[in-house]
Amino acid sequence: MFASFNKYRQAFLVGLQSNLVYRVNFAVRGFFSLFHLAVVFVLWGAAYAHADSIGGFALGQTITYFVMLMVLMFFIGAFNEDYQISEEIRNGLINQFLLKPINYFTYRFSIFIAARLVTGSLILIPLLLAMPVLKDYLTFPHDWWRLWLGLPAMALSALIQFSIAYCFGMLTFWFLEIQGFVILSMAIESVLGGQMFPLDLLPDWIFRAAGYLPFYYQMYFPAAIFTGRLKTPMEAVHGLGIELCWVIALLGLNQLLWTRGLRRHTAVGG
Amino acid sequence: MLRYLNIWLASVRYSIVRTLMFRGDFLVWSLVEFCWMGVNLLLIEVIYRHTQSIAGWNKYEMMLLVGTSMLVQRLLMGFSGAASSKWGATSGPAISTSFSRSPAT
Repeated sequence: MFASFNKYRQAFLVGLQSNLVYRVNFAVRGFFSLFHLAVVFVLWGAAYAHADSIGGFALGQTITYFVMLMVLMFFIGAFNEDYQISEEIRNGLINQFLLKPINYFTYRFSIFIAARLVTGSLILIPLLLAMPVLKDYLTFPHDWWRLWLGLPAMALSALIQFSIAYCFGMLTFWFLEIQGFVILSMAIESVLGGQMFPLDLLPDWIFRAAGYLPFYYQMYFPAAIFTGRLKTPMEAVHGLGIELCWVIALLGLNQLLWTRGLRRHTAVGG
Repeated sequence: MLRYLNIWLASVRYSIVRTLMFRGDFLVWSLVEFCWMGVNLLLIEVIYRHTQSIAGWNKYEMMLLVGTSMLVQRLLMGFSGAASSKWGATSGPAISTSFSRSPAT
């Protein structure tokens, strides 16, 4: 059984090497994220000028939330996986996977993990450089349960991120261009994923409803655990349960789209 | 002068007809623009639920500022071509506070 994972280990190693080749690209992207952080700093600093607390949290806690979000983005966020999958389908490069005993989802997920390890490590460099400015604002809670629950939440979030990107990639079997759908989902994810503002600032009923959608678990949920926006372990465990359900649902959807998509796919030559 | 205006209007009519040839695509991109506009307004609405003023600007003044910014961006995009925008044929958040992934480059 473990021998069958060797091929995915090789895919992981190849993904690692290919992403290390583009390490400068990712490092530059990481540095430009500091500009986003500066905008966050200016905007929320101005918002807190007339209020000590917004949504029950101080400025430091809000800045910590956005820094955490930035780190999570580079550790678990899907970058161009949807377009890469789309291109492979359009160019017929998936044909090689149809003829070999390799699962395409697992292959792409191996490459995704490798890429995130590289980008996640590289974001720490600009973050360390910005630490003299940030250190007075970063406030993390000291509960150990946040680590034990936050790390699995982060792993499941990575699966959700990749699964959603994979779903969009699979749409290429039906649509020539998926960019419109991807950008539309980015707008939804930026709101319901807590990237524009912490979700707990929404009216209570919207916040509770958002907790049952997959976007909540893309980045907000692990960030909320690590930064203290989720108060109790029971809330985190409840969230982990819903997150696991979404992972299973999305994996099922991925498989369904792959199977249905292959019925429409035609491969000639090669 | 009038002749060039007529040529420009003919180009506009041709562009509209060509865009509407793919109605589904047109609808999706229209929805994208509408959603991003909504996201920007939602950000302002949510922040101002918890504070009265940001740097001396109240909610409606901030909406005017963001709305003007979005209008200028769309006008530039329309007259100088989609290549002038890093988002291609559409635009992203007016207030860049999101670390969301970029479209394919």
